[in-house]
Amino acid sequence: MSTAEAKEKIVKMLSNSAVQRFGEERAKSLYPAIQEIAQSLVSIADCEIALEEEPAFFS
Amino acid sequence: MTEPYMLNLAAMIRQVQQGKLSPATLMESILKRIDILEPTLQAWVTIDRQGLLQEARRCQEEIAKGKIRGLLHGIPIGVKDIFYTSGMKTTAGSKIFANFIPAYNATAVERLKTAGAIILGKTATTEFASRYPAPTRNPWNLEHTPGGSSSGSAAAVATGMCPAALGSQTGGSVLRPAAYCGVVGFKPTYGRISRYGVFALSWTLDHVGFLTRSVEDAAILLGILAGPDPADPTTRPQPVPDYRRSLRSLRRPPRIGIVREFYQEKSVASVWKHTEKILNQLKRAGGKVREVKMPASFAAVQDAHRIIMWVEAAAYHEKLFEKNREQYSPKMREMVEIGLLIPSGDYLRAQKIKRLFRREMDRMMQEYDCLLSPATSSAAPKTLSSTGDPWFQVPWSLSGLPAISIPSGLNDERLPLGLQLAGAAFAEGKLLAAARWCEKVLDVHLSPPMERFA
Repeated sequence: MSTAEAKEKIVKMLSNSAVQRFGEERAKSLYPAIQEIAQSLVSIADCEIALEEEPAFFS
Repeated sequence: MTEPYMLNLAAMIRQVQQGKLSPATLMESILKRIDILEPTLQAWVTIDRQGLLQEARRCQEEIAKGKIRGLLHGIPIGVKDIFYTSGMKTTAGSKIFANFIPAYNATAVERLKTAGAIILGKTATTEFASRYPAPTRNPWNLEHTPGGSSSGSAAAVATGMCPAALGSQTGGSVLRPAAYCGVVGFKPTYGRISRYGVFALSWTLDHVGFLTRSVEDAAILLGILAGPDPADPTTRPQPVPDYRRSLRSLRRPPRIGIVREFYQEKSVASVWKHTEKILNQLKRAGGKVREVKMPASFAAVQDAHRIIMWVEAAAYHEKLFEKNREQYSPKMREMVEIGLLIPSGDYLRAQKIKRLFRREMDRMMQEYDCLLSPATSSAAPKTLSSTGDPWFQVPWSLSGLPAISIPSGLNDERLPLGLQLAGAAFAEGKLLAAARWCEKVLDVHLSPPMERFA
């Protein structure tokens, strides 16, 4: 899947969640921010991380 | 004659403890300064004028009896308005907490008081230390942002309204306003200073930091604030050295790594040109400067930071937000709502990147005393509706490594520029020593133009 396709898929998923959670009108106004965060989600998905890597949390 | 408010923290301590300056005279000088500047700069949320003069007189009486409670005896310090202060309003820059009076002090505040400090008042912060600006103006140019979220602390320290102030940093909230206002900004390693009693924005990214007018002043405050706290389980038991002594610990010029990647591309041309000039100056003074190749995970740092911050801010605010939606600014509302949509798997992936980046940086830091970059991508932007971008601080807020910004000069518009130095985990002493060396070489002392306030 290309980066653009991956981003589009995430935007769609987040937009659907936004409609369910906040209603259609609010979801529409959140769209630019959804696109921005979708870009971040695509970017971290591209980062190579070993299977055994654990999350950091408080360090 | 030097007005007392003009002294830096180290000089104030010396003069007060030697009996050359009474805490009451110092307080009067500072309150007079605040009276002149505050109507324009709007750096303060709360100042208990009457209580302050009484406390200063009490400190004076104690000195007369030979009782000095600690290093900061009788010294006024500002506190960002997200730190709980017992009996003193703590608004977090939010309408929701406009009348909130905590019943206890944040650990950082308590440590200042134990050292004898007088809590001068609460400095203005962006809403919940996030993106919606405080009303504070930049003392160098009133049409420009002072930066944020520690906006009031930066403006107050820059103009002599206090010698030092507490701040906090999740993205770039201490070092960026410090650079925009021409003062020193410091944030230690994650786990070095307790966050107990501080409004959270993002638990795994929040750091307590502070703003001062010199590196030595930063070393003094760190010595007072650092150390484990049973009330904050994220604090670490690492020993706390004498940081003032650490300033003299570097017996050779520092090994400096220059980070071009990302920083050069994001800097406006004049900032990068200024940084190159400074680098040459440091090299001529003997600094061992080498270019750094950042690890692969560096590319994902900004995105991982954004995801962690938005998810954790949403989790922190979720219940409060449900009941008070209309009292949140549009920017904060957006952050909470978007944060609630991000899948947990993505949040955990961002936390994995945080750990990976920290490990890779820990390895790299063994070769350097500090890594150097510009403190900000530009001088303070001409706007009061945002506080500038936190990009340049984000790698150190994400990795939890200590960082400091020091003033390095003025741009063509006579706005301050700064350098950012980052160090190894729990090696703040070495970082401060390197920063002190740079401060001495650069010999830059900035003071905002005050004619307009006269």
